[in-house]
This record gives sequence, C-alpha cells and structure tokens, in this order.
Amino acid sequence: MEAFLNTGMRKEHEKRYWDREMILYVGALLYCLLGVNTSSDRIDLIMAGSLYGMVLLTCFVKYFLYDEVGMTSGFLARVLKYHGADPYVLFGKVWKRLLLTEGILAALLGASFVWHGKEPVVTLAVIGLAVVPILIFALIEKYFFYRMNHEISGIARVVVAGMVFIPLLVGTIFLAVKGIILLMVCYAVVSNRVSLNQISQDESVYYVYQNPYLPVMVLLLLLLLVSRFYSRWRITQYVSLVLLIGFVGSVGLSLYTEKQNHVCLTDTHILCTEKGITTEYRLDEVEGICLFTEGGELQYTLTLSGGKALELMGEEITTTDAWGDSYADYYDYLLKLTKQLLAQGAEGTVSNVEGVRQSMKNLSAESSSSVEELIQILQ
Amino acid sequence: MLTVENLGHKYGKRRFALRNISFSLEQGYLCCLVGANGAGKTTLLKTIYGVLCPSAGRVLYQGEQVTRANAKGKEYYKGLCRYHKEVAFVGGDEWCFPNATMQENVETLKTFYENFDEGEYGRLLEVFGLKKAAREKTYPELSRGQQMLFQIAFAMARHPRLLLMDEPFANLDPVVKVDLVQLFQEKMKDEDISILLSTHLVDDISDMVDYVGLMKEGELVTYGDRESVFEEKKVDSLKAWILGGEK
Repeated sequence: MEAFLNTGMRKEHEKRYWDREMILYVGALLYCLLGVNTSSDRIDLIMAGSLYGMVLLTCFVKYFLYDEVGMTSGFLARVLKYHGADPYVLFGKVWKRLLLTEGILAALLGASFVWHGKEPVVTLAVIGLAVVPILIFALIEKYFFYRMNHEISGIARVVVAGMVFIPLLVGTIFLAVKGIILLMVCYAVVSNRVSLNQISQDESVYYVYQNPYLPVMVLLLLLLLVSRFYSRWRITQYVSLVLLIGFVGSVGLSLYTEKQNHVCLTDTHILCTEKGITTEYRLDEVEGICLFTEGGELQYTLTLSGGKALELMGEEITTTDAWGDSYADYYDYLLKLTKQLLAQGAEGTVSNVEGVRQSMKNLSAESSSSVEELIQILQ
Repeated sequence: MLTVENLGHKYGKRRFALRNISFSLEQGYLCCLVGANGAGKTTLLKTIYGVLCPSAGRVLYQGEQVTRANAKGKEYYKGLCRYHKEVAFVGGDEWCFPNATMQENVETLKTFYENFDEGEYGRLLEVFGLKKAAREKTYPELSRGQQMLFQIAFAMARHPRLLLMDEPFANLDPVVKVDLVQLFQEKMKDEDISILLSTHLVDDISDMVDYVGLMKEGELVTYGDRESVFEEKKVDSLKAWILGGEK
C-alpha cells in the first residue's frame, strides 16, 4: 500500500500532471488572497472563501485520488479492490495528508484575513467554507466506501450530490450575475454611453466595478467545471493556461488600480481617485478634521457632509499648487489647509494626543513642528 | 477449497440475479459454468470474488468465510483483502487504470503482490505477442482479445491458488486459444491451481473440465463432475449438451 502511494502510478501522475495541478492549486490560493486584499465586502469574501474551498477540493480530488489517470475515486476503490488493497488503509493515508495540507492552507488564509484586519466572523466563515467542502467530500467518500458493496438508494445519491452541488450552483449563479453586470458596465464605458464618474454615482454598479476579480473567479469556476467533464480531452492544460493568464491579469489589474488611487487637492476641491474612478468633493463640504494614529502611523482625515472620510496620508497626494518635494512641505501644507478649513467652520479633533506625539518621533524637526502646531489648533 | 453456500445477489431491491446457489470446488480442479446470456454467470463470479456483495448466503475459502450477505466493516475488508492475495479474477474492466499504458499499470499494480513474478509476466506477454502493446497502449486502446490476454498474463504472474475467469476465450483467435488452454493445463499441473470459469466456447476446454455447472435465470440448475452430469443428461460432451438445449 505504501509502495502504491509513493511509487508507481503516483510518480507517473506527478510527472505528468504536477505542473498544471500546482498552477491551479497555487493560483487559486493566490487568487483568494488577492481577493481578500482588494475586497472589503463581506459576501464577496465569504464567496471567495467557499470558491477557494471548491477549487481546493477539485485539485485535491485530482491530485490525491489520481483522477487524471482516468478515475473517479469510486473507480479507484474498485480497482484497488480487484487487487486486494484495503481501501481503509489507502484512504486513511490520503485523508491524513489532505486534512493536514488543508489545515495549513486554511490557517494561512485565516492569517491573511487577520493580517488585513477583516472581521473575526468573516474570517471564521471563510475558513469554514474553505474547509467544509473537503470535509463533506470526506464523508461522502467514507459513505461510498462503506457502502461500496451495496446498492445505494436513489435518495441517498441525491442527498450526497446535493450537499456538494447546491452550494456550488448558488455560488456560481451569484458570481455569474455579478460578472454579467460588470461586462455590461465595461461595454457601456467603452461605447461612451456613460462615464466612469457617472458609474461611480451608482452604488450597485460601482460595487461590482471595484471588485474586478469576481468575474474572473466565475470564469475560473466554470472552466474548472468544464475541465472536470472533459478531462479526457486534455482540456485541463488549456484551462490551466487560461487560469494562469487570468491570475496574472487580475494581479496586474489590481496593481494598476492600486496605482490609480490618489488624492488631488486644489484651492476649492478635493479630487479623490479610487481604482481609476475620480470623484470630486468641494472643500466647503468638509465638516470635520481628525488627526490620529493607526498602527503607529500618523493619519489625517477630512470628514465630508454625509459622513465620508478622506484620508490625506498614506495615499498618493498631489496638489495643483506644488508644495515641494519633502514631507516637511506637505505637513506645512496640511497646516495651512487645516487653518483654512477651521476658518470655514469645520470641526477639528485629535484623538490620542500621546499616540500622535509618539509617532512624531520618526519625523524630521520641521515636520514635527508642523504636526505640533496642528495638534494645538485642532485641540 | 472454495465453498459457496446458498448464495444470492440482487440488483436493486427486487431484481434477483442469483438465487440460492451452492457448490464447492476442490484444489487443482477446473469447473466450467455454462448458461445462456443473462443467466448470472458473471454476477456469480464477481460475487464469489467479492466485488459484488451477496444479498444472501456466503462464500468460504479454505474454510474461512470471505464474504456474506450485507457484509461490511474493517474486519470484512481485511478478510477480503487476504482472500484477494490468493485469488485472481479475470474478466472485469476495472482491474487497471484506463489512462495509463499497460506497462505503467503493471508497474503500479504489481506493488500489491509480493509474489508477482515479472519473469513469468514477461514470458506470457512474449507468448501472447503483447510486448509492444504493453509499452505503447492504454487499456481502452487494446482490442477486447488483447485486454483479456493482459488480464490473464497478469493474473498468472501472481501465481494465484484460485483463478476465476469470465469468458476467457471470447474474442480470441484460434491459435491463441490453443496456447491458452495449454497454459491452463500447465498451471493446473505445475502449480495445482483451481479454475472456475464461465464460457460459451465449451469445445476449447471440454477435455479439461472436471466439474460442470449449468446456470439458468440466476440459478444453478445442475452441478456435478463432468461424467456424472453427462450421464445424467445422456450426452457425451458439453457441446452436445448445450446444443441439445441444456435439458
């Protein structure tokens, strides 16, 4: 049994299929981590997690159960039975490996969520959804193994199939709808029917637009499904290639849109660009100014009427009137801006003065002096 | 050596494929199961081998129960695995991996058998003219006859004590059939193996047969040594018996 697991068909399988399996596998992981990084929506994150689970499941079924050599695991069981192998021993070993690897990856996923400051409930939901399909599949496998010599009732078949496919179907429909909306938005923009600024005013459309990785996930899922049905045509090679392009493309898109995030200050307006979409805010809309620290970093935000907060630190900031190249010049500029806004009636606050002073230690003397003055006038 | 007691099998809840089958086979003998298509020969062989679970009765090998009605659990599988080390089945399509070449298959599958005789396997491939096909072809790419020969070569190289074969002569050319009969005779003489097979082509082996079983609609209607069955049926050969309508 050990020989079977470690030599023979396994090695042959690895030699042939390791590369593309791993492209799928690592790609799916990267993809979900990327999704975590770029999305803040709870449903999206949960869907990403559940899809990650399904992708992982597909890869594991292929990789560990030798599906690519032409078998379903049920077929594998029958082949093994023909040769006097104890399926309990084989599947015990396979599932130990599977659960160990799955556990490590789920922990990585969870750590990534925590790292990005996601809510614990979302983190747990995603990890759960990533792990649960594997566990369901394990139970199904166990069920079929125990019942291998028996007739399985039609109802039992429907139940076990439903456990896997209904969530998959619902997830696919959910993401497919989003993908279609995005395509329609893209078409509308390309054909100049609407501008990006107009789109940004529509929250539902904007929501889809700012999550460009989702439609690619739909594609990923559909291609995986196709590859399951047509694996004999070796379509998985092409699928893997498409997915790889998809992953690289989505990473590129993400980096590109990240680069598009910046704030431009004029004498009368703040032009805030998020993922390529620019929104204008008037300076006289500013109701509040807040100086605080987050993770030891100094933060400065403006609160607009309606509650929207604009960060003026940690983003790429430009002004129509250049203030110079140094941070000291920028802090000096913020000081002038603050005075102007306070004069217009905006309310200033400093939260955690001690923390702010602590973070000033990393600044130059000139910058520190500007920040100190900011504290004084905002308090 | 092999004892079958009141064996039954049904597909689904109602459709009986086997009913109340009992017989035994001693070491070193050949038993031939005959019967019309759908009589239950293949189901009987698969149930005896343990890949189908009986709905009634049991199978004993060397006095130890190997399968029974509604058998399940780890102990059952362990017993079945021990049984499979000594018993080979020829005739099912699920004995190897369909997308791998035969050489790759055998490289893997031989790891299940400590006593797998590579020399014997190579010799049999030579005899059957399958060396090239082993390197180049996957199982589905082989002709039905070649598939059967590969299974027989693999089974023989395991040196089983009991060989179960489902229609081993189907789709074989006459020359290979002669080689195969010779091989069975050699193995029975040299290794004292027992063979239980089903066939329609009784002419090829009628001289070798020790026991005969006639199956009809899932039941073993006649079973006994060749002479007594012929005497009872008043025929002088298996062929005459079958041509006479198996009465």
